[in-house]
Amino acid sequence: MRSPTPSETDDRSLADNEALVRATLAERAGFDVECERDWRLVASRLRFEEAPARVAASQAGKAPAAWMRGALHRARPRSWLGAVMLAATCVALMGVGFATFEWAGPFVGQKLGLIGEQRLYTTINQSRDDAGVTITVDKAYADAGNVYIAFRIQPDQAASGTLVPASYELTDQYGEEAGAGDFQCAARTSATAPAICVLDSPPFHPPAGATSLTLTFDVLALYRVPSNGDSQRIAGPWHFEFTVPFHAKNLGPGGPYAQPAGGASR
Amino acid sequence: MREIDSALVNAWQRGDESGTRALFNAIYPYAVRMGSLSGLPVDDARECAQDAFTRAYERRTQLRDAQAFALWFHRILTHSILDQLTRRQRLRVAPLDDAGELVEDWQRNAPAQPDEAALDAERRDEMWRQVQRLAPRARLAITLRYYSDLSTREVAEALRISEGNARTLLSRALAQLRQRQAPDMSPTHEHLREVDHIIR
Repeated sequence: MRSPTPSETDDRSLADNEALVRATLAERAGFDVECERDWRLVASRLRFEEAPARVAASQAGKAPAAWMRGALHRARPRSWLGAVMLAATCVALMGVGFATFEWAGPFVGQKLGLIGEQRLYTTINQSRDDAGVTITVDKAYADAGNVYIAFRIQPDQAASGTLVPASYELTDQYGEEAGAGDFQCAARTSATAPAICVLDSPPFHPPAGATSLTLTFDVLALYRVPSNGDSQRIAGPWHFEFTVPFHAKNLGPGGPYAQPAGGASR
Repeated sequence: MREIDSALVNAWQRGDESGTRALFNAIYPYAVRMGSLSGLPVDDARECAQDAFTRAYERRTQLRDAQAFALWFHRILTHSILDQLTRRQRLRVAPLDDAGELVEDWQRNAPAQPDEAALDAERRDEMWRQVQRLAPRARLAITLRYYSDLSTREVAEALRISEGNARTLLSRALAQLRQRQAPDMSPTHEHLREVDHIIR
């Protein structure tokens, strides 16, 4: 075996050293960073040019405050699993770009952005009309971590106030019911404009090897929340059935997306 | 931190809260880790990262090209970290020895080194101790080069020094790290040749 020249020895030694430096730094960088708490500190110092339209808790009137961020009461009595954490600990998804508000209305977030950027959502485009309201399911996505459903609530005639789901059911073809999820609905811009909403639901657990989910999504009732006066409950149901690919890999932890102005208390 | 999607940067530049928050979520963990690796306690690293993000937001209209956001933010973050480090000066500044030679070919994506698999925790601990003994600017340069994977030119831009000075800074820091490692932990080629001879 030929002996390495002094120059080759130096180069190899330097390369070894660089590798050790890289490995050392990578190891020491492996700690979690919690974004939510620190975002609140930073946001308090910043002046934003425009706030996204959001449903404010103050508009809830006499509707239960829980519908805004917490889990919704399910029509069937079952254990209430509680709300999905909307702003979980940030994890290292460094270097991943974000899509804009393309597929989930005005809502953005790490995972929503990834789904939009990689076009992983399925266009559903189903509309159901009942009780003077049309609900359209626009897009949906399902993986081992979440189910997202982007939809719109449109009154057939001009009607002021916020429109939000009051209760719903979501099941798959295997009979599993999804755990209690979270809705976010952007405030309507006019009496004839739709409310744009996203359901962030816990995942389903289909049999191993399942590549698609056929979901039954029933919006059982809505709340119409005027700026003044009592909330009105509008009974449905609006029934949807659609199939989406099931991604066995969880694209990201949880499903955090932007909180309404004023922040979540999570 | 690789390139951030331009559309997100544009939303942030418009002062949009949702876009700003999304950008924060994308880069804040990285910025905290940069500060920590550069020698700051985690709480100080968080404060640095928050300051850098705030400063960047206040100057967001100065960024002409959304695609250049990553390097532009690195400059602000680096400045913030250096400020904190010099203020603290809690580590003994080790004088640098004479510069060693830089390998000419800086491969950004170097092929896996055979020794990487064999690096054990003790060597990494010792390397960490030696990295923390470097002067603040040298430590930051090493972090930018070997954690953030910036090129020498980009390290120079982040530190606001010439590329030649950046090469010298990195070269000297690496030489110091190599020399200060515990002698019996560094495999030498004499040792490897001896082992080879024994195997044969």
